[in-house]
Amino acid sequence: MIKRLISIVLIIGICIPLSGCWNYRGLNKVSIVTGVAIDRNTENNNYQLTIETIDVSGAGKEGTGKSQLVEGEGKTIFEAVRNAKKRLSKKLYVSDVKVIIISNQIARQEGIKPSLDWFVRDAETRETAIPVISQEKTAKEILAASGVDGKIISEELEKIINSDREITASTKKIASYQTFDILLGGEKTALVLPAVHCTSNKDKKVVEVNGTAVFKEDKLQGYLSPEETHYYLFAVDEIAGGITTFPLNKENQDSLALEISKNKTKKSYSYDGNRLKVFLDISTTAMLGEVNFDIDILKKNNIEEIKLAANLAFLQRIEAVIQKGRMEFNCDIFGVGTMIHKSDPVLWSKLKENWDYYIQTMEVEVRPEVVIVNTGLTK
Amino acid sequence: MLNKSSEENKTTNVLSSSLEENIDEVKNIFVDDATIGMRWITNCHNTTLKYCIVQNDGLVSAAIINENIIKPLMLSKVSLNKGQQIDILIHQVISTNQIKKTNQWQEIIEAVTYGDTILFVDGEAEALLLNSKGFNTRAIAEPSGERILSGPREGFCEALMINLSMVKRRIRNNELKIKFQSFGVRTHTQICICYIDSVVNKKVLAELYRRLETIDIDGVLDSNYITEFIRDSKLSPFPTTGYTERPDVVVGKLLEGRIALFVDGSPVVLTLPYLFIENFQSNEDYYLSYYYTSFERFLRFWGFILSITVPAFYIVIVAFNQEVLPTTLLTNIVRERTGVPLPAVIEAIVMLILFDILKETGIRLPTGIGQALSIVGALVVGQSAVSAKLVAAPMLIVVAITAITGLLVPKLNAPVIYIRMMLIAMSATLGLLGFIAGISIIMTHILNLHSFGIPQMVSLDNLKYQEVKDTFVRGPWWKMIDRPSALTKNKTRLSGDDRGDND
Repeated sequence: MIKRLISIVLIIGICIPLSGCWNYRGLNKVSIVTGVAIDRNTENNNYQLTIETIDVSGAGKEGTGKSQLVEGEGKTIFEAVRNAKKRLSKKLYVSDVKVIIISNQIARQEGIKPSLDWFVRDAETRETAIPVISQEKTAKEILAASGVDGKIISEELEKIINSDREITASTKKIASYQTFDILLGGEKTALVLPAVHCTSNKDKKVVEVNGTAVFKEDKLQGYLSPEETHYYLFAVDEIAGGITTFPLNKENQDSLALEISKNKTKKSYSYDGNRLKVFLDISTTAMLGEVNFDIDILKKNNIEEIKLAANLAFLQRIEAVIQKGRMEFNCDIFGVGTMIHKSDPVLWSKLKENWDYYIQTMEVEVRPEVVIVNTGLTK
Repeated sequence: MLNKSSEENKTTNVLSSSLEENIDEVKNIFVDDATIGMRWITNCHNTTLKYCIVQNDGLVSAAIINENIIKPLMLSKVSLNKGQQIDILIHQVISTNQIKKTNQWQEIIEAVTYGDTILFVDGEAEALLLNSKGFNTRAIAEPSGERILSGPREGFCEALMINLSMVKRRIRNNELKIKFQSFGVRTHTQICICYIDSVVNKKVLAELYRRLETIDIDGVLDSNYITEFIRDSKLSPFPTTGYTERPDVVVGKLLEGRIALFVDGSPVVLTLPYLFIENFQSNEDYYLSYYYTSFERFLRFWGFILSITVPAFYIVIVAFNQEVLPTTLLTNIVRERTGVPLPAVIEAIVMLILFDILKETGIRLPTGIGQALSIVGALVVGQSAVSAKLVAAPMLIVVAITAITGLLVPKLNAPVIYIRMMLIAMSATLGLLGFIAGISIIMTHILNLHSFGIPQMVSLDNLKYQEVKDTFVRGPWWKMIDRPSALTKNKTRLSGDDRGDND
């Protein structure tokens, strides 16, 4: 009998670690939050939250429902969320937050860490939300814009950012937990978040992903345009697609377009006591996508010429981005610190003290190697 | 009747030697039973020889009685002496295939009511029981509950001997043992225990006899009467004995070392011991390509698992752990759930009971009304309930999946209903915790099930191909070397030479 009792207790006991949290929540009593925009109210210095939820009431067979905005203010993000609930009959369900839009004022002046803290710390929020930086005056404007594909801006934004890597390669996706990894990492790698702005499309204000925002610690330093971001992605080996457009030579300024199919960037460094030198070996496999002038691409010489032009374009543009990161933002956007830390921790602890100086003075050598595997047309 | 008359006159337990007295006693025993017919016969060569036959109209074949009993008795020229003629009658006069001497009234009563003819001989204190059974039985047809695509289509009928004949025809071997017993204080139903001597597990056989002795019942109309007396875990909804209406299935089980138990008057034959895997096996598995039937096995397993878990898991997701849903699905479910008055739990229980009602009425109804029923079920209950926002559409899908998958494993229909409801109740109160707890309880119970001392589940400690060849997949016949190890000590099915030498 005792044995049986113990078995029953053990069976119930093992269920607790097996099954996770326990919390009853009727699905008809929740409002699904898809995105949050964080602004600072300048009058009373409160956080001003704009929360986008899915309005399912009107929906039926025509799609997934409409976007619905609710605002809330508070001293902390959590308080602001709770205050927003005062205007709602349903409980806010925050496990499906896709994007956290932070206004550039907050990012520039106070840093993004306090704003993101709740999203990573709270049990209900999910750490896979993507923090993005609004280039508009307020973050709220992003959520107030309309989408082209879908009605819910946050979802649309998330999909744009997710699919960006392989098609356009003009921004960098990073989840909120990875953001915190970088911020707390101590390797002084710069945080790079997607930047968004509003633009006009067929007389409607729509959202567009516009490159990336670069941080030093958690403070916004500036932006990389979509094109700059593209070459930045080459440097950090995050490229998986996208198109590079460049002219053939000085005389012939008509453009060529290469579609990138594969890329591998190898980073290495040398240190001779006072000078740090970083090498980037970029080997790219690309397909010729478009040629805007007459050239016989079956001739070996011409292909060689295109290759050289591509190498030159990569070299110049990647170096330009690196220069911008080092000189303008004064930060290590390529993760050189992480690389040194991994391969030589002793050296890293030495360089760490004076890292800003090394960023400024280090020499970067970019060595691109483009291989064109497909020219498309024959004759 | 017997009891009453025997209480009045204790001496009537055995026959007397006076023909008149015996016939009076027959009339006394069968008073108010108009189907008992008597016929007096006198031999035409020796008029001192008087006989009387007693038979039950409707159970006997008139031709047998006329040709093989009355005619020889009337016309016999064998010299007979009153008082010493029984054995001569048996050996030289009466030409029926089965003859038995008796002086017990009890035996006479059982024989008459089973279609035998009783011959009372003047001056003899013994009567002869002559086989003259001639009742009609249902034709041998494919059992409607166990239809298959290909393979033998014979099914058992209600007559014990015909059923046994179908089995014997398939095992032409003297090792097939057939033993009779009778049960039911009033019905005296014949029960037949059938096994293959060299394969059967003797311990199980002894246990079966022991349990059969404990049966105390007035009538046995179907094999389930016996099942409920002799099964293990009497309160468990899971079956611990198998049943079938097909002779090919019975023979297959006998060859694996099981025992078959036939009950006269029922086409359903019990097979035991019963392993849990048998719930998922079908005789057709062995008649079709093993590629095809292995997939069917897989479907049945999943059918069982889905049928018990789907509604409960839906409730867990909808009410407790919405985090597991992708946003699009979540939005869709939220949209459907909005405006529905009842919580998901009540919805699930109501819809499942409603389905069981539809199913039950569908089984009992005459075939013509079945169509009307499906229209009511599909249109009224399904469509209208959703469009009237009484039920959320996902719940309807859940109930449909539950119902359809439940039909994949008909042998587990009883436990499935209760497990499903138990899981729903536990999930609704404790969420995923309750769900997992429920599954653990069921697993513990199933692992604990025995059938005649043999565990229903195979333990995993000695996992070999021969142990699993006929479980999750159906192995090819040339690889079925061993019999199920739990059932029999005589392990090898195939002789050495034909072992799968293809590999």
